Amino acid sequence: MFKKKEKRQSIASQYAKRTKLGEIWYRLKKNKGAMVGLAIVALFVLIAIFADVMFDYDTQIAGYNLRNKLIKPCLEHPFGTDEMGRDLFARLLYGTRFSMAIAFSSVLFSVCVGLPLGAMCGYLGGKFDLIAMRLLDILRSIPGILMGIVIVSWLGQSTVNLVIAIGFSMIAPLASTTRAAVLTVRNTEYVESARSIGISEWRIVMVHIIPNCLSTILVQITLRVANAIIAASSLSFLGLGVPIPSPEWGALLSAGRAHIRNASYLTIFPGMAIMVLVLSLNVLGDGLRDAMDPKMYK
Amino acid sequence: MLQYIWKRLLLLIPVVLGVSLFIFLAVNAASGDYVDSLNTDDMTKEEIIAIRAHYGLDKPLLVRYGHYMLDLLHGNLGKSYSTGLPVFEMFMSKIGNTLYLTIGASLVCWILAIPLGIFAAQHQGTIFDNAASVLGVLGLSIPNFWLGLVLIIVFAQYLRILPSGGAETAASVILPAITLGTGQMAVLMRTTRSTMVDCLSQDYLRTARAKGVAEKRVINLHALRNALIPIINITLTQFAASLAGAALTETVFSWPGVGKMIIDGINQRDTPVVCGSLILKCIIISLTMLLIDLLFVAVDPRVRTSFVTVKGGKKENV
Repeated sequence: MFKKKEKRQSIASQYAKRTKLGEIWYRLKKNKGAMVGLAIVALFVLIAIFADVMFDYDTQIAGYNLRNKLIKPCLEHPFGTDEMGRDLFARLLYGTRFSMAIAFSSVLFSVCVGLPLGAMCGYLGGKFDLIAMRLLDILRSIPGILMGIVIVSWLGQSTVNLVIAIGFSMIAPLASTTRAAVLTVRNTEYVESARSIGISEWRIVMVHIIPNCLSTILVQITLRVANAIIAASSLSFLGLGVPIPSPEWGALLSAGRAHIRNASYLTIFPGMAIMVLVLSLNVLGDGLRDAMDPKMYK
Repeated sequence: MLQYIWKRLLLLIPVVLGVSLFIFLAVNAASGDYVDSLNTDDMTKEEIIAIRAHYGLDKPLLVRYGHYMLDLLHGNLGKSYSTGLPVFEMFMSKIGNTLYLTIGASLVCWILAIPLGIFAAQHQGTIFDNAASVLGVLGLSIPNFWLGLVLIIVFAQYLRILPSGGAETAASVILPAITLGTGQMAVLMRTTRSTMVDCLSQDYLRTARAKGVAEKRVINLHALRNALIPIINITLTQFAASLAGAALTETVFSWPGVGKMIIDGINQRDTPVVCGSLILKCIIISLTMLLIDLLFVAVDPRVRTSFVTVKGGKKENV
């Protein structure tokens, strides 16, 4: 009985102290699934950062040893070896770095273009909005994967071009999400009062509007990173991704496909890695959305 | 009403223009043209030049685009460089296969997603609901082409009960349909669940129950009917998207459909095929969107009276 009261008081005092970010974190912490997702994503990020500490790229990742080729999963090679005798486990872990870097940079690219574009459409409205939205409609009517293929074959096959291709195909959805978020904030009273005391338009957008749309956009970004990982691996799978011998996950899958009859583990493990990371990002994104949604707060 | 339909059809024109311009320029600006993708080792320089001239590849890009658009105005999508057949004919010969696959995938998707979504909504907050939502996120997270490969490994290699690719036998459609259908299932299931949750808390359901209507009837007749609009919306959007070419699934299973044709076309720099198929694809998608909006008018009296069109929901990229 007494304990309960104490607990309630401590919750109340915590609540009083929490900032907006702290509040979101507090609510996110209660969502077990999202926390597991966060932990897995953090683990993958760590692997990506320290990949070159764990493995030597030239000998263990890119270098081959034909004597060890196509060994089935065993203690020494937990995921087996590929047709060049390279350890799949090592390549998979190292590939985290490629897949994550590609996904994050392509999302960053689309944010850099899509966010200002969407914000301007939502804030300015009028002709600019109309024309920009029609153009985005055109981009949106080409499916992402086909757009990616067209762009990579246009620019040539390289990691940077892969990032551009994926980032470009994500601009339209990101811009329209931002636009919708800005539209809801644009006509609020505090924006009106900011305008009435003579704050410049630019400052209104940057200081008053964008921060208030951030929660929506942040959720979008988390989910977009998940999409970008799948998109990158799809393009690599079609042979349009990173140049060999980079161990990007889609490239591993694509290479494994040639041995689908005699060494199916080469196909199964890379796909599982993609699935686990994307699943974690999706769960985390959903958790963030719930944590940031005032309607969900009880 | 008619005026509205006309307006929507007219809006197609800038989309077609934009798509064709973008694709035409991108495919043509790519390093190497169709002739480079041929084996030209034993041809003389003059022969290569003659081939380029034959396809008009020696002219500047904008001139070629102009010619292409002029032909398009006459309803002519051009001929494929590699097969010499008219693009429209090629598209039509492949669309049947794609339609077949799409219907199969949609059946898989509906049979799994709608009952599961309703079930999850009915048992909101229970372990069933959580399991269904996990299944939903899982469906969104599995790379489609990988699922296809895993299905091939399990059913074609180990169990040897289904063919791994092609479209020779009737059973060939099963694996690609499951692959494509489960990918779409996640989105439809989530939509069904969330709209059903909204519907289930409505007052008229309480009234119906109070009147003594059987629970099954309450769910199937009263609730589901009102939840149908978003469900139809997602279903048709997905149908149109995969009809327009589920490129990856078709590639994994060597399914001779539109998506595979477009990917092959891009690899061979066969501009007319890529451009023409994407234009037809855009038209299919836009017409489906129009159909969805019109269907809303027919299904939902609220839309009919106010005639405020409900914008098509989320677009799914396959």
